[in-house]
Amino acid sequence: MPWLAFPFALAASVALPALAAIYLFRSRHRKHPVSGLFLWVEPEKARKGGRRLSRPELPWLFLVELLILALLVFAAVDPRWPVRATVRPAALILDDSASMGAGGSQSARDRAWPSLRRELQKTGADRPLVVLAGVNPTVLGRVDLADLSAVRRAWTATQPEADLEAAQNLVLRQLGPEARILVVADRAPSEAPAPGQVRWLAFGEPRPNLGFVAAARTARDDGDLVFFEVANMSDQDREAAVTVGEGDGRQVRRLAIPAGEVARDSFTVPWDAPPLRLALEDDAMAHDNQVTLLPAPRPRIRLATRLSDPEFSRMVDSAVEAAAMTVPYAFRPEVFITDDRDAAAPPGAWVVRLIRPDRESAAAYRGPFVTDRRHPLTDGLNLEGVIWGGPAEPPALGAGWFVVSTGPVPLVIERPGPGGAVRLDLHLDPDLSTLGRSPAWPALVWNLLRWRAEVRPGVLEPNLRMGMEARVRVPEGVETVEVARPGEASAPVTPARGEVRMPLDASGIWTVSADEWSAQVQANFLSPAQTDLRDRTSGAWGSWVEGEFREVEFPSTAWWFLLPALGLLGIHLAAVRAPRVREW
Amino acid sequence: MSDLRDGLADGARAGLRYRLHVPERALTGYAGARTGRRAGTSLDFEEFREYQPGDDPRTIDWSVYARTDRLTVKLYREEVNPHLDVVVDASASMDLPGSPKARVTRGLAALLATAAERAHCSRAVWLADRDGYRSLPAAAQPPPAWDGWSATSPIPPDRAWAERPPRLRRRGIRVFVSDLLWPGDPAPFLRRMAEGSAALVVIQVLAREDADPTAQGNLRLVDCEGVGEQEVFVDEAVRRRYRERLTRLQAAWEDAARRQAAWWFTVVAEEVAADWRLGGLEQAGLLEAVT
Repeated sequence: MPWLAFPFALAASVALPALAAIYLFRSRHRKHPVSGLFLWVEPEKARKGGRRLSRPELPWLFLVELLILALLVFAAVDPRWPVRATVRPAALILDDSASMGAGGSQSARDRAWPSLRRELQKTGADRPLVVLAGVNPTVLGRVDLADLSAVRRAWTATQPEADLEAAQNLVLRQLGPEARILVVADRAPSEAPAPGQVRWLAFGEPRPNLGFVAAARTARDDGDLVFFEVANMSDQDREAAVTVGEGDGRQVRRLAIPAGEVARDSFTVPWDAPPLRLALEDDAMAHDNQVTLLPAPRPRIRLATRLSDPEFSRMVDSAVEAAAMTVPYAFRPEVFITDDRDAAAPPGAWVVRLIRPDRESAAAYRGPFVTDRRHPLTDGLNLEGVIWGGPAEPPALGAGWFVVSTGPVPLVIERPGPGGAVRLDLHLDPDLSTLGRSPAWPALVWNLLRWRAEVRPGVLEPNLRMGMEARVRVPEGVETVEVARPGEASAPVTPARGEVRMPLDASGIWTVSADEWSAQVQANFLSPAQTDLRDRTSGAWGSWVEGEFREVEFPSTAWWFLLPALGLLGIHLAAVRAPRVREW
Repeated sequence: MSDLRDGLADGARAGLRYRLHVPERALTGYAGARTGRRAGTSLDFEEFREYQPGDDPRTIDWSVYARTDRLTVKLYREEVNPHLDVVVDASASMDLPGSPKARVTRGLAALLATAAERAHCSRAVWLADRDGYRSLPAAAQPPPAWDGWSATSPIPPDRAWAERPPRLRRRGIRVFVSDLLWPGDPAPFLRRMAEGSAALVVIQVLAREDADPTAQGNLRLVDCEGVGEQEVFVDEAVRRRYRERLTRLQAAWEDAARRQAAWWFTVVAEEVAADWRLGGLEQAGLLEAVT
């Protein structure tokens, strides 16, 4: 806080030159003509007469008064001195998002680095805790201020997002609420930093940038549909040249993109085309200038049916055909659909039982239907307008999960099957229902098959955004898999509940393998917030010497100056009361 | 300038109240309106006496020389005009800013000249200027008509004497008006001033601030005559030492005056300007009050 903000200090500061002026003017000698100078002064002094300029007369009292005023000024600005015993724990949070590395040698990270040690020394802590703020905070541990090279190596600035708030919460949990937190970023804080707790330094600079913000490759009948979006995060209209493919077969697709807008493009490639690379020309940020899309999986579920009810048979056949996700397979099917209540379930198969209620006890329901949106079967399921014929009374229930119900009557129930298999009971009277002729029916079947496909070994969505979590099912019986991060050697990982979860914190291909089996996931840097560098800025916000911490950690030392001032004041009073004898 | 003219007028007016007392020694002039003591060229033969160097050769009685072979001169009782030389210090200190010192100095000269005129004395006014002593050309005129008077000389009267001494009338009455505020031994100066005079009067004119200074505080004391300046803090102690030095200076002048059988007076300009009464000179018999 500038000393001008202290009214008393300001007043005392004004008094300093005023005092000097008083003494200067007081010591200015008034011209007084005399008839005989020799009568006034000693002859020796008289000979010195005629000197026009003389040193101002500044008695020691003036110096005392000046010192008193200076001490009062110091006291008035409320000086504070840190108490070593109360040094608080400190933490450094580094924004690890890709925008920190944008700009090459003039990136925010490179601009921040030279002043990092000096800023950390201000915390007073010898070994601050260092946290990298990415999609998730990463604790690097306590580092020695004398050697920050490990921090520099870890600070790669490649993350598609920097959750600085989560990083701060993590620090506060580890160090307590008295922690001093230094946040280094390239943007201003969204809200004022916590007083006395967070000091926020930004080293960013606004830059124009083009980048991919979305990309997907989905299976279609005629091949894989490639879809992508490019954002022009600049103040001028731009034309983006997107290079598709590599080598001799590459082609360039051009997109005219207005300033601040996003342009889309799509095309189809053969379903067996290899991983496809899309690239933009180099600009401020390299991470968003390329994406790679792996071929879209085409799962085929082994399906077996045993349906005696022709209406059920018609409904299932039409929905399965529409899903185009199955192959008829009598031996060891993955899904077994039947209307025979007594049919034996094939080993390992999911069983769907279509149960027609007795005619006497059937009822047609127009809703409202309660659907459990947490269940995979209800994803996108819309039963509005559907008439569902079901039992008039709730059937006898065992253990189960109501997926769809109306009132007290369950219509779709999931029950636990042997060996982790799923068993679904679907109570339906096709004669009283419109479900079989509504879009909800094929959606329901599609969700069923998709669900079953998802629990197969491997992944259904191999192209993910960086920052997402990839879940890879591993084959049954596999206890350890090898996980290879992009560009790194593989490491053994033990699956949990039949799957491996991988936070995609690096872009590139992640590989999970076990024996002859393997699966791949491509993590692409697709982050509109990072691509937009227009709002990056520099500055400093917040202070560690505010709020409740200020009084405790930096106690006032005004009395250091007040006491000498009072002492000098006493000396001054004694001096001015004493008779003054002036000899010359 | 009008203030100085007023001073001359005031002095001349005050001089009408006085007549200069002419000492017996002054009555030794040449032919004049009054009878002098010295043998001279008047027609009243008094006696013979032996020739002495310096006697007018025309008074040698050659017939007596022929008879006695001795040079004998004839003495006559001469009729003389007594003369007043007013010698005024025209140094800059006589015009102390803020004081009536210059006005009173001129008034005193006018007063003395008027009083001398009433005593049938001739008169001359000499100014001790930067180039030496010079006679005031219009001194024979009534004082209010005196012109060419300035007090700007940077040198004191003793140095002016060295430049060009005044041609003072022998056996005349000499009145020296000055503040006498310059360092040095006053005895040689007064000895030269008194030499050949019938009477010497020294009148010290001081401003009240000269006699008893009241100024205090941080002062840059500037000598009127450009001797120099000095910055001092003036308090009572300083003023006390000033008065002590002034007293010692006045004592030196008084002692020198006594050695030359001169009158010595000190007047304060402000007091003189109040009523133009010169009680001290009256009491000493230098001025006679007339009705």
